[in-house]
Amino acid sequence: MGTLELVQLNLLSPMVLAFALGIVATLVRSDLRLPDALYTSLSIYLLFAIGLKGGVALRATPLSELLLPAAATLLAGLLIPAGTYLVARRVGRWGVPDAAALAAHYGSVSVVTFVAAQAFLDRGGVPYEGFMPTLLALLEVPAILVALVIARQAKAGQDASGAGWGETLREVFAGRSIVLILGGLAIGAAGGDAGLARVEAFFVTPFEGALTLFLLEMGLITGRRLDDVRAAGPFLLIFGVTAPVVHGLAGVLLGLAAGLSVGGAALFATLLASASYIAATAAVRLALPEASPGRYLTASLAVTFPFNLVVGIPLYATVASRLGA
Amino acid sequence: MSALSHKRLVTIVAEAVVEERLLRDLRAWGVTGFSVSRSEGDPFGARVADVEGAMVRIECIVGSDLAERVLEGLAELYLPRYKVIAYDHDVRVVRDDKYP
Repeated sequence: MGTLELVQLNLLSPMVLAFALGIVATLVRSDLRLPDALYTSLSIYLLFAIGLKGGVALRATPLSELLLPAAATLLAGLLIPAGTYLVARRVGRWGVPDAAALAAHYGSVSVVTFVAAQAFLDRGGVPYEGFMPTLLALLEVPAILVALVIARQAKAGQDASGAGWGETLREVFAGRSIVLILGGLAIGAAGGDAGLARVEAFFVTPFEGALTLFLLEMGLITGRRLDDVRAAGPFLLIFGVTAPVVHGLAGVLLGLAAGLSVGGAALFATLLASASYIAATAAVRLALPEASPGRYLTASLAVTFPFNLVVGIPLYATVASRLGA
Repeated sequence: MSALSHKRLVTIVAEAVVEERLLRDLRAWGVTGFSVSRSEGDPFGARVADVEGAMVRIECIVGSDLAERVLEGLAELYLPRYKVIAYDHDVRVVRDDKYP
């Protein structure tokens, strides 16, 4: 499939259009708003569903096949936050807490971006390794820890009022995304195809519909933050667009080198290119309360997320297919 | 009607992420009962509530000494760092002995 076709396929998908509708709705000051409970329910549904499907695939995967991609994932989980921190400190001239918060967000992953990339590859008929959600779970945590360690090292005399390590670790490991993905993986692996078949009508078939509704809400959230982008200054905007491209292209190379298929490398690239706004945000609010959410959330949510959704995903898929062919 | 006596109603509005820690500290300071409700809006301007869920509003009725201790504890541990506001005011209650 040509690049233009891929872009068209992406732009005209109900998911991207629903996201755009959410932004338009905020621009015209519509009263459209998803109830908080629905937003939470949808995110639980999406996380659990990808865990389940990934678990079934994981059951059929020999450990040897998973080792190299897993090692590449952990490597990225160390390098991306370190690189992000340095860029934010040196180029952006940000303070320690803000730079570390940004590092935690860009090193960790956005599950919705990953799911959107999966749906994109599905529509294009590009196969990928079924165990990719395992890598997603692997990449979620290390970057947050690396970023918090950097912050603690850099700040002499840590303020006692920030949350301690114990509480932060609990927040990171017991956060809903990790519990649902790891739990889903375990349940999917235990039940296998037969188990999944029993819940397929709920967790597999309506998946893209649920994702579309979720992206509508993401569009509303993003739209509400657009003013913050203007206020935040050029570094945040440039970083929010450049970082996913750099991480994504590195991800394609690393993914292919680790033995992933073209589709797998495109997904791996998306993982690296995406920035968290759930797990990392909760941990950062607790452990680095002095970092400004107006910076790290705006960058990951209002710049990088839409960029990946519209431009990044087809870009990584195209580069992966060129290099992997 | 039984006699009314004066107590303090302490209200804390906080970002949801600190809820668990806050409730633990309140218990440690001696608060024995409270009610927690989800709260709309984003009075702090940072709109963290978008991704972390709503804010929480915690209310407890306590004696004036304990109210002081709670507000001082909040001022020391929470107010400088987290999106938290707290205030207390006078209320009249029946069954005075139910409140610490």
